[in-house]
Amino acid sequence: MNERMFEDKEDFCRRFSEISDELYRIAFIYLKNREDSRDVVQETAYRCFKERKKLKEIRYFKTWAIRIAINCSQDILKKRKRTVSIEDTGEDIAYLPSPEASADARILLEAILGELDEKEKTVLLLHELYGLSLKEISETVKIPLSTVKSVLYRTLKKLKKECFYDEG
Amino acid sequence: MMKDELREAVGIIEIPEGLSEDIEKGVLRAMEEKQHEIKMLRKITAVAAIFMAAVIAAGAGIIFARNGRGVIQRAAEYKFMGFRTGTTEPVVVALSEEGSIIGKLDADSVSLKSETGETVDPDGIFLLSTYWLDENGDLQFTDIPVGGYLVETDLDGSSYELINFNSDDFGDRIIFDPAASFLGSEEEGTGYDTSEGELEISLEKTSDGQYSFVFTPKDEEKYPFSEASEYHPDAISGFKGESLESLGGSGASYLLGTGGPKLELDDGKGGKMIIDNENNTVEISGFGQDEKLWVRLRSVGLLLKNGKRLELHGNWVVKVG
Repeated sequence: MNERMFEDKEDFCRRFSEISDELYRIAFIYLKNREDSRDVVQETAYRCFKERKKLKEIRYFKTWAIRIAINCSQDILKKRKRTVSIEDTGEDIAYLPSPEASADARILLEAILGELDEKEKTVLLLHELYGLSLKEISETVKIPLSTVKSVLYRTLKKLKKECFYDEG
Repeated sequence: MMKDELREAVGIIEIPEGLSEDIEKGVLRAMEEKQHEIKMLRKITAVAAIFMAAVIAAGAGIIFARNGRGVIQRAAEYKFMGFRTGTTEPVVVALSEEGSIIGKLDADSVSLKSETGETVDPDGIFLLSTYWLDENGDLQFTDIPVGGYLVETDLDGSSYELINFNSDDFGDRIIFDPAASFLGSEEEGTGYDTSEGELEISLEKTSDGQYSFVFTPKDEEKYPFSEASEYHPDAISGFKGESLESLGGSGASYLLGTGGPKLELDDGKGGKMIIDNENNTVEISGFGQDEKLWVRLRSVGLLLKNGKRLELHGNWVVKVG
């Protein structure tokens, strides 16, 4: 790839904006905090722009950015483990009870936020939401394929239990 | 079905105001950094060129090396890595987030030691890199996934053995096979996948009704097996169908083919696995005909003819009966 994949900075920003909502939501699933999630969006934009030469084809841009956003989120989580915050930044209520959102969707979101660990969230999002194959997930997050399989199995089982979700 | 529900669920998360400003800030930061790097590199290169000229002229023998990142390695770091003394062996170093070298692999103690000989705090490790001098005397490097480092390596790309220095999994031994492009974890008992890995392992029924492990390398030249092999029996577990039920274990190591006590594993539901070290066989009973038995192996070590040791982990499906 070369820098010309994005015509200029504005072109990059425009393309990035198209996926920024999604990146924010992904970050929030890990961090459960608005400000940290915004930091992830900024950091992801920074890393994507800085490393844009590494992108082979524009059609991989979204998946690539998502992977970076997940890594950024996990970096913040690691830092959180090493620090004790004086202020309780707490977790945000990310959403308001919305008449448009079904009860099932709210239950599912709460299960994802509350019950899944980092790895489970990663595998779930990448496979179920973004359609990456298990092999692609294995290569993306650098965990063995068999681990990806067992994590996915475990995650769906957990969600099934929490949400009475029917695999079908 | 799941995708739609997941999309709906994730979509509930409210998007705050100001994301476009966050994007702008990120991009500007990257642009400013790039400008700064270019300035610094020009400065350092200029200084180094002058210094090199002076050094060569003075015959002091201090060497600056320029690595692939475009950063001039400090002489002290170069010395710490051992290249000043003329070693050509690859050196594994731990880098901080700022890019400075904070430790070097001590192969004897299998740990990362700082310049003062203290063990490096794994939390401080941002990146691990292997450095070596190529045939032209230039410094080359290859980055290792965060948390791992090389213990044994062939620079031609055969298997590596890594010890995980990630703070969460500190000390776990994992295997990295660049050909297979994934890592295995002793902690999770996973590693080579039979569909894509270098080896196939199966249990074959012998004529007298016993089972024996059969290791079939896909590339015999790359993995020439010796006769001896060993495994860690408490890492052997099995499960029927889709659920995992441990068959138990004793925690000791056994060397297959060289004697030692039999290992009996019982799943408490009539299923049994008896591993006979002396005869290198595995007897399985109490499972239904054609029932799937998943055998999970951890820390199965194979001694290769070239003296190296290859560790295996993974899940294999064996059809019983």
